[in-house]
Amino acid sequence: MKPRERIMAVLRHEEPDFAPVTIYTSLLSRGHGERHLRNMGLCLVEMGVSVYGIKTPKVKVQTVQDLASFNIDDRYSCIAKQKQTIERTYVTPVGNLSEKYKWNYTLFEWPVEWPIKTPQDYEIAKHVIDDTEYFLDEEEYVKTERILGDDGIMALGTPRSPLQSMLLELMGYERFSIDYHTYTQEFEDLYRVFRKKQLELYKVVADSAAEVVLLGDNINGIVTNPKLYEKYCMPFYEDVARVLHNKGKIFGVHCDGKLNCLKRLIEKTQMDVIEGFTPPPIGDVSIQDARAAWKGKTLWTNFPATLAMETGLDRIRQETIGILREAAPGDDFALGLTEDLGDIKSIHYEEILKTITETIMNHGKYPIGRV
Amino acid sequence: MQEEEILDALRDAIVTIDLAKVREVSEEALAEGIPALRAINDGMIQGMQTVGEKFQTGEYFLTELIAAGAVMEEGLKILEPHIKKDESRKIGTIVLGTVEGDLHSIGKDIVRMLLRSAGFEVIDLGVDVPAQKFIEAVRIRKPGILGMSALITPTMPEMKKVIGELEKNGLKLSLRIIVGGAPVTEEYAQTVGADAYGSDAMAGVNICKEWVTRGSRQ
Repeated sequence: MKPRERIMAVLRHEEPDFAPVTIYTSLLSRGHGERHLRNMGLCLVEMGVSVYGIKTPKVKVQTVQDLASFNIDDRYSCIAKQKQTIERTYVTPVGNLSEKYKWNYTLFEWPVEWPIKTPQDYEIAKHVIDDTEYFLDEEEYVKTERILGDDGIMALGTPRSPLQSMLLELMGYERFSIDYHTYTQEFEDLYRVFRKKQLELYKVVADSAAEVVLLGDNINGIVTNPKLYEKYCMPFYEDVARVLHNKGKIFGVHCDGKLNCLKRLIEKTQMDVIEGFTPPPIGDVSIQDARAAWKGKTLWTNFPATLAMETGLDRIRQETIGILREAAPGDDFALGLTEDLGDIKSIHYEEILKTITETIMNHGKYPIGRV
Repeated sequence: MQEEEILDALRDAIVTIDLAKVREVSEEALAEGIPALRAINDGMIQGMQTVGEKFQTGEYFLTELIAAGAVMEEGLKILEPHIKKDESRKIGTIVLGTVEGDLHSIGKDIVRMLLRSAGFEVIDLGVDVPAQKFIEAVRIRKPGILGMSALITPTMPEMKKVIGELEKNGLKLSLRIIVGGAPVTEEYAQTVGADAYGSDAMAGVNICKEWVTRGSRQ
């Protein structure tokens, strides 16, 4: 099988020839090393292209950023380059909201100042959300998919669900915790507006060329506790799954944190794929337990980057074999590299990827036996 | 209200996460002549202890812990300025920060809030903190403890860098170092030369409390 066929087989609950091993394209620079890894069987996952556009007719967005010294090709000097702050102001007829972002290590924008700072900001936030219009715009997506060919798959990355967005993008955890308990009415009103708006987005997505939709929720049961997950995330996933399943799409959620306290709840959701699932020592559910608890869902397992720290290639090989052993016989299982592993000691990043891919190709033939 | 009733009300305000009530009762405590330190120690801190217990038993989650901490901060704003000069609720000083390259603040902020509630003076350097800034803060503020957090794996070596710099500058001997964050492990903490690993915020705070109880390193 080609890399694309292999991962699609697992996502469709069919049998692959080998356990798929994938990597986000954003974590792999192009060139000789990358070509070699692809030829070995490492499958690319392209999440950076959308199928929809966004309009905000009544809200003007003003952005100020300094990128003069930012060299995006030089991924290893990102720490030195990421000091630039992006300031964004949402100008609306009912008032303005402002937020500040910085570039995170992996070049994602990361909030350092959230737009909701006072209870009065809720009304403005509701206005911004309500003003948002989504429309189909998939030309680039279709083109990129064609270029990618059998070397990888397109996965449409969609925004965090309303609760996770409120927590991580609109108010930050401290404000979120206080407002959830103190400004209950404002909190619930905003959530309702947000949920309604996001479902409009999924109706657009359902009519698009995207076959695999991955909701970027970064679920961690410590932060998004069972009460919140059950009250807000689960009903939303239910609605999204209904919209997407009606059009034959595969629906996954990025769940990369500690999930033990959510184990029984995740089982009840309609998501097809638990993506970014991270076993111990970062997560707190073993692959074996996850497979037992979430039968019928694809476990797209992240290689826990911690295992690569301060170790050598032998240890990485052993850890990869350990992952395969737990995943045996390998139904509904894929290994995905979703975190930047960085260089370890003097070993180059691509050597680490080569070791993981090689180990999968040597020991991951389906059905995986006792490795 | 009687003194005991006021202290009970302060405890309740924390446990039930009631911002308005904590403000009102803190003012009332001062008006009734209750010493600020007593209102804090026998009122609000008792409330935080109950919240901590509820958290440990799974009745409360992190949102409740954070919100209760914020309610206590609100009460402290009113009460702390009234603590007499010869009294202090400070049990120790800690410098805290997320290492360079990492902008995650949730974990660090939770630890900060819990440490503050426990009576630590917390010097929070924020996120994306360069090694040099940690060194300077330790040199100038002379804390007993340094806490470092990382959530992005490739930034974890920054912890080792900071500890190396502290050693080079002769600052490590007088200091205890605790590290934490989702990708950090006990094994990694030992590898980089930290004194302890906080598996979660509460565990980290308990280690710091134990350290100050046992006394300074020297």
